[in-house]
This record gives sequence, C-alpha cells and structure tokens, in this order.
Amino acid sequence: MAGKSPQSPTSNRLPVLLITPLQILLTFILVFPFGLAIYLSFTNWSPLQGIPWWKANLAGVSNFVDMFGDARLWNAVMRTLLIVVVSVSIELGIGLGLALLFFNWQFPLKKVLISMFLIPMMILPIVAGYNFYVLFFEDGPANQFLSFLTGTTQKILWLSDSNLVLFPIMLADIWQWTPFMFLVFYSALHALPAEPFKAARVLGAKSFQIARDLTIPMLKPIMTIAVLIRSLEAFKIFDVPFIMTGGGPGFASETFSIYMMKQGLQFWRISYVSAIALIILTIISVLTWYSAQSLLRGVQKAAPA
Amino acid sequence: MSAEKGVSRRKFLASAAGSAVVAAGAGFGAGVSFAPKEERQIIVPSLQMRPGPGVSPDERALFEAAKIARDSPVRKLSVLIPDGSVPQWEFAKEPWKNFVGVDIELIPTPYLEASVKAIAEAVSKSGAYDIILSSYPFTPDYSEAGLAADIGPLVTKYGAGLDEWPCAMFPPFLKMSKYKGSYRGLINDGDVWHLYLRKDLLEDPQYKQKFKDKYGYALDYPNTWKELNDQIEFFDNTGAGVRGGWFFRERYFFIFEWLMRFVSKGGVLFDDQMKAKINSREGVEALTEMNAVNQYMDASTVSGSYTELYTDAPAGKVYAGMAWGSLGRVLAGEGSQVRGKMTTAPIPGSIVDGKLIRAACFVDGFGVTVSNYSKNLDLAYLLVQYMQSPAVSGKSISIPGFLDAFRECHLTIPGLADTYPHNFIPASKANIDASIPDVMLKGITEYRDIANKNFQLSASGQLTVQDALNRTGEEWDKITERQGMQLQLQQWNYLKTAYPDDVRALHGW
Repeated sequence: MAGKSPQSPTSNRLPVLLITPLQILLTFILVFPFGLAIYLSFTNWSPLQGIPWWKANLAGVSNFVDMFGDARLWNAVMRTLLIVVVSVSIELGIGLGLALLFFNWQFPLKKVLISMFLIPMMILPIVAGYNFYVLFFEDGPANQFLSFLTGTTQKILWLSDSNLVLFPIMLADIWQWTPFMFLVFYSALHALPAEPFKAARVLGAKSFQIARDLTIPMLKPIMTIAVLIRSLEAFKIFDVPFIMTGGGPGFASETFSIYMMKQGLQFWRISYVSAIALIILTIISVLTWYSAQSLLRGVQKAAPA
Repeated sequence: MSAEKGVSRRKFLASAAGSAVVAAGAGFGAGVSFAPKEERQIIVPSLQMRPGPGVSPDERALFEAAKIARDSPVRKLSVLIPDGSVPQWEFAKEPWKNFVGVDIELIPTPYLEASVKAIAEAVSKSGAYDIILSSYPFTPDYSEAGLAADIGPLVTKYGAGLDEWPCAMFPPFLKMSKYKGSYRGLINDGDVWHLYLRKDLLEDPQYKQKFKDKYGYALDYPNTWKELNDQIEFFDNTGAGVRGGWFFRERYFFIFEWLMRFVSKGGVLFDDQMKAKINSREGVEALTEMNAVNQYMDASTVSGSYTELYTDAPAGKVYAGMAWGSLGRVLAGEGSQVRGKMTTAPIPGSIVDGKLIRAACFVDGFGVTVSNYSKNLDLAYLLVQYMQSPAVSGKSISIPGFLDAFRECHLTIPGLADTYPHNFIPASKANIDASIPDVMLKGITEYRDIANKNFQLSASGQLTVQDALNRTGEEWDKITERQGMQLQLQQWNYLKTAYPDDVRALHGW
C-alpha cells in the first residue's frame, strides 16, 4: 500500500482491465444472441427463404399474435408443466425420504448403496430414454412383470396409448433425477448444526417431531434451490420423450422442447421460435423469481431472530 | 504453368487411360466403362446393347473432371451422405482419385438428420459439402434456401444420358429429380414402396379354402386395398401364428399408406387454388380403411418405426408388410427366418370407374444435390454424373445399402433378383410405373408432421376420421399461405406431371 492510495488511477484501472475480456466474451455469447432473438422475433425469416437473416422482412408483432392462438404450443407448455409438477414433487419426496433414512440409519453396505443410487444420474438422458422405451414396449419387461404378478397376459400400450404415455416418461425422469435430490439433501443434512438436534432429544422430542419441526425447516433453503434447479431442468425435458415417443402418439407427449425443436429445426420457423422463446423466458423468469422470493420469505420468517 | 498442368491432351489421355487400366486391374473396373467387356457384362449387360461408338456418361464425367481438376486448386470433394449408403459410394473413391486426382470425402450422417445439416449449410454457406445426398422431397426446401444448384445446364453440357436407352432412369424418377421443372436433385435411389407377403401362407391350400369360404373369393395377390384388408384380418385370426401385418402407424411414415389409398381412389391433394382437398370422400375412405385394420397389428406400428418392421418381418411375426426394397433384401437375407418364404406384390389399388388405379408412393428415395456453395460446381456435378451413370450406379445398387434400382437396366443385373424375395423384379417394375411423389413442396416436414399427428389421433379414436382430415387440411392451408401460395401452386402443377398416366387421365391433367 505504500505510496499509493486506494483511490489511485492505477488501482481503479486494474480491475476494469482484468474483467474487460470477460465482459467482451459475455457480450458475444449472451448479449448478441439475445439481441438477435429479439430482432428475429419481429421478422418472418426462415432459412428456406434463401436470404440472410439481416435482410429479413419485418413482420411487426405477428409472431407474438400467432403464438397466442397456437393451441399446439400451449398444450405442449401445459403438458410440460404437468410433467414438472408431478415428477419434481415425487423426486423431492423420495429424495428427501431416502436422505433422512440414510442419514439417521446405520446399516451394512450403506456406502455401496449410496454409490449405486447415484448411477442413474450419471447416465445420459438419451440412454435412459432408450432403456425405458425398451422397458415399456408392448412385449417389454414392464408388461411381462405385470403379467407375472396378475397371472394373465398384460399388453398395456404404455407408449401408444395417449392416456398412458406420460406415465413412463415421468417415471424415467423420476428414476433418473431422484438421486440428484437425494444427493443434495444427504449432503445438506451433514451440514446442519448438531446442537438443536441434541437439545430436542434432551427435551424428549420424537424422531418424527424432530424431522417435522427441525430438519425440514432447516432444509428449506436448500429445498428451494433444489426444486428450482430441477423444475427448470425438467421444463426443458427433451431426450427422454423424444426417444421414447417422439412426442406421440399424436401430440400426447409433445413437450415444450420437442415442440420448439420441430418448429425451429424441422419446420424452420426461426422467427416464430424466437418470439416464443422470448415470451416463455419472460414467463419462466417471473415465475421463478416469484417462487424463489416467496419461498425465501417463508424461510426468513421461520428462521430464529 | 506447372509441368503437371502443361501436359498435352494426348499425354493426358494416355496417362488417364493408364490409370483406368490400373483401376480396373485393382478390381474397380467391374462397374465402370473402362473395364474389360467380360467384367462389365456382369454388372450391366444391357450396356452392351447401346448403339453407336460414343463414350458413356461415366467416361465423359471422368475425362471432363480430370480436365477441370488440372486447372483447379480443389483436391477434395465432400459428400454429405446417409450412413446406410456409404458402402454404395465408397467403392468409387479410388478410381475417381486415380483418374481425376481429386479425393472424395464421405461425411456420413443419420438419414433423418441429413436435411437439417443441409439447411444449416444453406445458412452458413461454408462450402462444407459439395454434394448432398438426402431424401428427394427436401429438394424444394434446398432450392428455395439457395443451396441446390440448378444442374440442368450441366446435365446437357456434359451429357448425363439420364434418359438414354437402354438404361434410362425410370420416367417418374426423372420427373421427381426436378423442382418446378429444373434439375435440382437427381434421384439416386428408387425407393418406391413394395408390398411383401408370406408366400408360404398365401399359397397354403388350407388357408386358400378357408379364405374363400369366409370372403367368397380366391386368396391371391391383393389387387385392391379391400382385398389386402381382408387378408390382414384373415391371417391375424386364422391361427397361423402371425399378426395380420406391420404397416406404418407411427410418427414419420403414417401418411404414405394413406396417400397411396387416397390417390388410388381418385383423391387430389390440392385444388387449383392450392387449397387442401384431403378431407374429401376419398380421404375419409382411405383413413377409415386404414383404421379398420389397426386391430390386427402390433402396437409397435404406432410406437416403433421401421426398425421394428425390419425386426418383426424377418422374424416371421407378420403376414404382410409394406416398405422399401431394402426390406426385401433383409427378408431374403441370411439372418431372415422367412428366407424363401416371402413374395413381393404390386401395391394394391382401387377400382375407379371400373378401372383398377394403383398408386405406389416413392418414399424418401435419395436425391443428389450439388451445392451452390461448392468449391467447384462443375467438378462436383461431374462426380454426381459419374455416380449416376448406368455402369457405376449399377455397381452401387448391387452393394447392400439404402440405395435401390432407379434405372431400367438395374432390374436386369444378373443375380440381383436372388437378393430379394420371390417376384421382386416384376412387382418392383409395376410399383415404379405406378409411383407417386411425396407431398414434395417447400416446407414438406410440416405438411407431413401435422398429417401424421392427426392421423394417429384418428387411429386411437381421439379424433374422428373427418375431424382429423379437416384439421390437417386447415393446417395445410396455413402452411401453404406461410410458404407462399403462388410458389407452392407452381410446384404442385409441376408435381401433377409426375403422377402415373392412369391418375393423370382420371383428372384430365
């Protein structure tokens, strides 16, 4: 510090110089594509027109108007939200339950089991999708198992019945991502302070009461983060339904990502897809922010002063 | 001028001929015109009947390409090619390199992804691919995107001999090689659909008698769709240990059987103002007939795709199946449990005004597109002409892979019939003669997708047949409007010329 004050020009310039390359990089990888998406959403450009995107005809707000009348789009969004709500809730419940079980219960081969639980998470979603496709095929193991249990031949059309098709897709998601929840909660449990639990036991609290009144409230911040991360990930679900059903039969398992892929990379409606992406990004951002805020407010209220 | 570039024409031809001899000696010559006559006879005997002394299209392509390559810095031509077709182009790399001095780089891709990569190239204009081999219905997309070069002038300039007797390309394939009347994607693969039936069951006297007792007419090759429906129902319920059939009811190919039934009944896809007419009586009948036999098929026809067909049919699990020539090769292949038990039939038709009208869909056959962004358009085109020529293409389609016969002389290649089920060659000829194009318009994927989705909903009972067709028609009109009505109308008017004579006569086209 000798000879230079904290406000000297040199010390002011250095941080700016250090972060400039990163800022330039971010400008290119974030700002430019985002700006391009905004521009394209107000045009009617498609690669099939044979003109470069910067020469596209302006289309005003027609893409935004079109999307609000696009039943296929909103059905895909609602279908995806259904998958998110059901899958993430079950993943949360099972993940938390298993974490509490493993944390509180000592038994042989515990470490081996923990390692095994994590395997699904490490499998590529596309492989998981194929595995579940084979599992739920008409003559696949799922129906064979049900036939064994019931004693009669079961030919449940898991993948070709519109009313059933979301079940194997959600099951695949739950199978693959419950370990993530388990891992997060199991780690978080180890990080909780021991004193409140000791005090509770001294005061005669039962295990259930400790879990309800201490463990879960103390885990709420991490639960909030885990649910948010998983919900955002689950909303982007693509590989599993694409491999298992391609979005069919009909539109029965067409998720938002599959819809976007088709519109963008098969039908080449790039401007339309840009408009949808912007609107969905806005909606998801607002919902995420609101959910995070309300959950964190709850946590702050519950926390001891 | 370098010493290499400065060689005289005589020296060049002498060295070129020497290269050809070396190439022929290396085993390549069996398929090209420089090879000894005896070897050429094995591959394309009909070439021996060619009148006059002139050189063949492959010879012209090699000589012209070698001339161009002398003055060009281009030392490699890149070809985007569906992975299943690689062996069918691979053999040509060495002779082309030896003669022309230019490498061929084959860039394999899953065939359903080829169009995506091609359009990406249309945007980036990188010159990554000189030639693109992909499904012909995408030719309008490639053309409008600025990717597909108009190679009509080059076809004339270098004498491709596409319609030269006795090894002309089948006329429908010549028509489908064009977009709005100009050559943009030469058909390199005669992928018309065929009907495959279990010959042992079809000819079984017991089944013949039972069938006649039940339906009142003889069990034979089905001439009409109704007869095929009867056979599917019969064999699913007759204790033969097979399902009635495996016909596409899945996400990509559902539309094609409907299209064949629809056209054979006299249906027309669009009117003169380019409004969809698919919700007509013919459309309803076609889809209703299809849905009627769904109960006699495995659920994998909905949830699976051609891989399930290519597994179930050779395993002897189905009586009937409909697909490309490649399925025939699988059925007649060594691993097939029904080898020698299958037969090939013409695609059934419908009786209209007392006449049997057949329509066999030409589904996803590969066309060869020369990229406008090629480093050397003429050189790239000449490789296409070389591969397209009677001699080289004869060798190409003799190698197992995606590519099937697309020239008349291909069907006479000795030994070829043995690699397919019984009756393949006559049935194949009948189906090619009756072939109809896909909905070969700009935005093809979207037209197909919405039809497949709505047809699936009708198959599962979630939509009535009429509603499925109404919705599809409405969506098609929107797509047409978005893509440009006049543009689509121009191509539709051209496509009408690619329909079989019977169909054109029916509509006065």
